[in-house]
Amino acid sequence: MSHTSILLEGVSIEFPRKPVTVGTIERSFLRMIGIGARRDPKFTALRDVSLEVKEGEVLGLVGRNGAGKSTLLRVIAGVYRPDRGAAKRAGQVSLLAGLGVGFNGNLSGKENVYLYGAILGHPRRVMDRLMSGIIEFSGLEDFIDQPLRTYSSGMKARLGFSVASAIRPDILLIDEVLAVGDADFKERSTKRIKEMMSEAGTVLMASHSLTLIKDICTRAILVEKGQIVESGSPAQVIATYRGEPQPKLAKVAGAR
Amino acid sequence: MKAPVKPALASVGPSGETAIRPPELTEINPPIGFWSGPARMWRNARENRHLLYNFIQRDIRLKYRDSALGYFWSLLEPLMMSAVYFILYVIIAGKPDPRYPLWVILGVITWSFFTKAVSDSLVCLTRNEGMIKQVYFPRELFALTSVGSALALTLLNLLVAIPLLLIYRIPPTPYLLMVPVGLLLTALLGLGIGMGMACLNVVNRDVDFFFRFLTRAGVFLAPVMWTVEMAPPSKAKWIDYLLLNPMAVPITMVRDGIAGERLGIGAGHVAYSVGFCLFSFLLGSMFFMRYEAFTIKKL
Repeated sequence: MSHTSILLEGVSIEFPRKPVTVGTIERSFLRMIGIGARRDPKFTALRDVSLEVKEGEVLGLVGRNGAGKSTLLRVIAGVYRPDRGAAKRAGQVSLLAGLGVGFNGNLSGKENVYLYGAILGHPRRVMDRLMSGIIEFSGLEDFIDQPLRTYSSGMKARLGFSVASAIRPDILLIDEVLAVGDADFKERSTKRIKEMMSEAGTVLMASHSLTLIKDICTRAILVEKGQIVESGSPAQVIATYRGEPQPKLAKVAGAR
Repeated sequence: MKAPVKPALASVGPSGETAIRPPELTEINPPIGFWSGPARMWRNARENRHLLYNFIQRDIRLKYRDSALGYFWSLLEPLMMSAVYFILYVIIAGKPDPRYPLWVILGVITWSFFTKAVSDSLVCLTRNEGMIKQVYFPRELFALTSVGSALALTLLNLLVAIPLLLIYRIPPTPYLLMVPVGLLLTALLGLGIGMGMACLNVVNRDVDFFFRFLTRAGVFLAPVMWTVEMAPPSKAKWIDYLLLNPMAVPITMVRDGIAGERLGIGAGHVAYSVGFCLFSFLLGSMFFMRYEAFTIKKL
């Protein structure tokens, strides 16, 4: 019997709608005495989401842009704290998103590997051990002591992926980071992700690549307007997602 | 629910040992009570010290990269700044004490530590927006990095005192112990103001503008170009007011400590300044720890 790895109970999160300009003093004064516009409307990114993921599951997140997939992964990673509800997890987590955050163009490739590794939670001695493998996988041996600003964007992405994927967490969260670099690297990175998935206890993957989800996930959920509208086998969830009417007609259909 | 297909793997902890029991379900990033902020910050800083160390190392490496003089800028910068103040002083007040250049250089270094600590930690959330949204680690590390880097660079700057002390033939004295105290007070005050205001700065950038002005005006109101001892007895009352500036005591501590003199400020003012720095540190860190998660969503 495997244990529960992630447990979300009635999780809601709201973001303030960001106006282009900050409210000026006179406007907030008017608001204070009750005249003028009400408080800025809020955007509900997740609405009463409950989800249980057991260890060993590979869960695919399907849904349109802006449906709430990334926010859901970020709540599990700890980036955003839910406004309501409880979010719990068991074990170490690693979010594969925005490869190479914290990269600095003026540091060498190697220095950036140490820095990015530290940002992902790995002390120097762990990075020392992983370093040769990371450099080899990235295929950037000749450039590793050059400043990162001399790298092409593809090379940066390759280095970022190599560091991020050298890590073996209990819970792996993947947010659309598959397929970076050239064709050869793309193939190797997809292989590496599959390798990571088989070693990680639990995997959550948000992707628009439906064939990938169908291939490797044990379960899928459909996220729509901040809610989980369906949970089941990948094939079934993808069918629902594909069969949906276009956004304009969604309200009329009201499919649940 | 569908049964998991893969067998459950034994989870391997960060240090490599295999856990027999499955890891326990714990709340993700739970809210932090207002009063427990500073203790929590201390724990997080200890747990993530490798990251803090990496960030500070990065900042120091980047500071003088691609400059021919490199580290010497750390010595040149305060030297040139003091030269300017020295000339200004000669024009306005005539012949100063021969040790004036030493005093002013130490004043400049300590004051710029405070300025840098505040201005960098003030913008630590807005500046690191990209990182904050993609990866989680305790956000107070950004503020601690700002102040830690500023402190490291200040220590490098302070090495300029060594040749000066040789020139003035001032031997090291026990008063040197005041230097770390003065720097610690500066760090606490900078961290307190910076952390307290960092959250507000996300909502409203006016905070940044206001503090930029304050640090520029403060250079005259703090004993940077002048020292407490310089005031003529007839103006002693004014000095009492100027000592309300919490930075007056830390600057004088660093200055008198290195110059090997007794602190020229009364115990009452010292107690006031120590209390002020501690209080703002506690308040600022409590505020930051409590409201940081709420603020992040506004980024």
